[in-house]
Amino acid sequence: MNTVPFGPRNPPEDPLLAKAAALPKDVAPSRDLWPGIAARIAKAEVAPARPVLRWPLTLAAALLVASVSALLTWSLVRDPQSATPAVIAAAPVPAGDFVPVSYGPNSGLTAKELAARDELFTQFRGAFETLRPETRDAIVKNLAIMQTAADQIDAALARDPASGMLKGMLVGTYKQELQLYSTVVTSHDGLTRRT
Amino acid sequence: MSNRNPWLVAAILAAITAPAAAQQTITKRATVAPDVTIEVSNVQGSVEISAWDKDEIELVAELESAKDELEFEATPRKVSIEVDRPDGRRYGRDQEDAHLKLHVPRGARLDVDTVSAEIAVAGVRGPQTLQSVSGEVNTQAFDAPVSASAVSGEVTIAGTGGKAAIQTDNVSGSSTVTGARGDFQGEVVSGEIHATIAVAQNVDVSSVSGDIVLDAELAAEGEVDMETVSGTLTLNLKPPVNADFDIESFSGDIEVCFGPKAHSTSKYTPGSELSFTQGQGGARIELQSLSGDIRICDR
Repeated sequence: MNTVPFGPRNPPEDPLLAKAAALPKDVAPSRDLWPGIAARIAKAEVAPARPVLRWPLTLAAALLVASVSALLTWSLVRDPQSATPAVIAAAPVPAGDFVPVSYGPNSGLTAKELAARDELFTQFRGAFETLRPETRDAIVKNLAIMQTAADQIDAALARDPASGMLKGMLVGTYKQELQLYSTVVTSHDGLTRRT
Repeated sequence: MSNRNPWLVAAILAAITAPAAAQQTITKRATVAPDVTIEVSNVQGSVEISAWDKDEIELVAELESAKDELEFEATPRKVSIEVDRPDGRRYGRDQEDAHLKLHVPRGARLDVDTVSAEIAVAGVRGPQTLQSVSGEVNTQAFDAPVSASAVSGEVTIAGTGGKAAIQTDNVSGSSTVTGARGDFQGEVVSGEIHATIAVAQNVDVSSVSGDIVLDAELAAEGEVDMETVSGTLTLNLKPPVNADFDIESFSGDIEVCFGPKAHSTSKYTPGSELSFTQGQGGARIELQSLSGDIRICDR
C-alpha cells in the first residue's frame, strides 16, 4: 500500500504538504449553490425542530376541564335536587406537564451542568405548584421561548460549531433558565423551609 | 325548594370573599447601618422601596391573607424580610397579595426576589440586585452597580448621570435603560432592549430573537459589543464618531449611514462584513448577527 510519509519537516520537503500546496486554492462550484441552501434553511426555520412544550395542548385541556366544571356547577346550582355544590376548578398548568429546556447535541453543556439544572428544577417544580395560574402560564410560556431559542442556537451551531457568539448565547440561555428556577425557589424559601 | 339556590350562591360568595376582611397590616422598624444589606423576598403583590435620610429601616406590610406570615429579622448590618405562606398553600388570583413598603437609608444594599410581585425602588444609592419572574422592575441607578432581571416582566432603569454598572436580563420581557453612563450589560431572549448610554465605556448586549436599540455616546477607548441570532441590532452613535468598526452578519443586512459599504464574505453565500475606522478611531465597536439586520448611524 502506498502511503505518503508525513512528519515535522520543511514544507517543501514534505510530500503531503507539497501535494496539498499543489491543490487549487479556490474551487468554484459548477453552479450557484446558495438558493438551494437558503431554501433548506428557510424550511428548517419554519418547521419546529422538535415538539416544543405541550402547553398549548395543556391549555386547551385545562380550558375544557374548566368549561366542564363550570357547566357542572351551573347545572348543580340550577337543579334544586342536587345536594352537593361543586366548586369551579381553576385551570392551572400542572407541574408534570412541562419539562426543563432540552439542549441539543451542539450545546457543549456537560452532564454535570445539566444535572445541577435538573436538581434545581426539582425544587422549582414544588414551588411552581403553589403559584397563581397566570404566573404559571407566564413561566411555561417563557420556558417555551427558551426552548425555541435553544433549538435555534443549536441549529446554528450545527452549521458553525466554532462560533463564540452562538456558544455564548447558548450559555446565556442556560443561565437564564437557571435564574428563572432560582428566583422562584428563592422567593419561596420561607415556604419550602416550613413544608 | 327553588329558594335554596340564592342562599347557596351567597354562601359560596361569602366563603370566597371572607379572607379579604382578614387583611393584616404590620409595621416594623429598626436602627441600621447606613450601608445595611436588605434582603426582601415576596412571591405575589409588590415591593416598594424608597430612600430616606435616616439610619433606620421602616417596613409597612399589608398582607391580604390572614394566613400569610411576615418574617422580619434585623441586625445593624443586615435585614431580612420574607412573606411566608405556610403549609404549601396555593396562591389565588385575588386577596392574597402581600404589599411591602420600605423606607431605607440611602446607602442601603438591596437584594430583592419576587415571583409576580412588582419591584419599585427610588433614591437608593447602594448596590441593587432586583429579580422578578413576571413582575415589573423599576429603579434608579446612581454610582453603585444595579442588576435587574425579569423573565416576562419589564425592567426600567433610570440613570441619574452616575457611573453605575448596569446589568439587565429578560426572556420575553424587555429592558429600558435611560440616563446611564459608563458600563451596561444586557441579555434578552425574545424581548427587547432599549438603552441610552452616555460615555459608553463597556457595553455588551445580546439577544436571541429580540431587537436591541442602543443610543450611545462613545468614550475615547470605549468598547461596544452587540450580538443577535435573528433580532435587529440598531446602534445610534452621537457624533463625532471616532471608532474602529468590525461588523459581520451571516445572512442579515448591514446598513451604515457613514463610512464604506459592507461587502460580501463569499460569492456563494449571503454573508457580509464591514471593517473600517471612522474619524480618529480609538473606541472599538463589534456587531455580529446570524440572520438579523444591523443598522448603524450617527444621529
